[in-house]
Amino acid sequence: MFRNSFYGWKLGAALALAAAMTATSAWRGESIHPPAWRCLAEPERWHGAELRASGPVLSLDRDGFVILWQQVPLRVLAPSAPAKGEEVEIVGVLERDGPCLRARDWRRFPPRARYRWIWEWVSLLVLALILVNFLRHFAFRPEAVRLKGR
Amino acid sequence: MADFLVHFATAFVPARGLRDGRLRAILYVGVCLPDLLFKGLLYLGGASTWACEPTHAPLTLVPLCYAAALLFEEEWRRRAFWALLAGSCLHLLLDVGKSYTGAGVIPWGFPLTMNRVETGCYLPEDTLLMMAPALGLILLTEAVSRLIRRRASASPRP
Repeated sequence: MFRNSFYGWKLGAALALAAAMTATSAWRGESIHPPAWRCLAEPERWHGAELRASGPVLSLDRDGFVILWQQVPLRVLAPSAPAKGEEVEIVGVLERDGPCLRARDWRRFPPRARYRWIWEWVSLLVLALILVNFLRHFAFRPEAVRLKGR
Repeated sequence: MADFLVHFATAFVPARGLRDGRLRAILYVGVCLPDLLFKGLLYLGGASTWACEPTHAPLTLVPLCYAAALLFEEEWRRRAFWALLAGSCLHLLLDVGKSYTGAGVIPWGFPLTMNRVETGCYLPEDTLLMMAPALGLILLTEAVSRLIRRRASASPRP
């Protein structure tokens, strides 16, 4: 399984399998969690689809609120409402009338979400150290992956 | 970007049990692999979020780790595969604890099912609070392992 025999076939098959899984996920997943513009353009088609939406609250009304989700305003029906301007995440079901999202659950993003850049920079630093450590132990040699000139 | 410090801490502790530094280096890459593939596909490949989801599915990680292991020289491939897969599984174990308001985070049975699971133990934003304990765990583990090594080398051999 790990030997050099049929190397190209084994590498190709593994990459093809992973690519097929990625394509399958993109194809099947899009129908489960479609993007905002598609839901709002075709509300009949996506009626009943479960969505996870997040964004800032643009306005409040009697039955819920409106958020900006993927650059598109989306009306949310919820028994309770956040304050205007708050960042929220909602899981709910799309309804063709409106169209709007009937919230199953929602939450406010905590204030520390604003400091996401801290862990992003720390993550980049950690990744750089991990790669440097890896390159201390291993060097890239094309002949090891059996690439040969003609 | 991901929370690599916390992920690294989860790999650093068990990696102390490995004597070979090269194997540890591969395990550390493995623990970052799912997020590296996800962000790479998303930002460099311009793929949709759903196309990137299989990078966090255990069954997809098997061919991906196998393909990555084939890039090593022959005598290292088997160990590299298991180290990459173990690191990736550690990554998924930490990620499954996240809370995405019940929407799920790990497609555990993909491609057989598109269902995603989460245990909802912590919010994604809690990463900021977990960074200091993660760093403390790394430093404590390193200090203890150095102490053990020093005592082992100081004790007389029979």
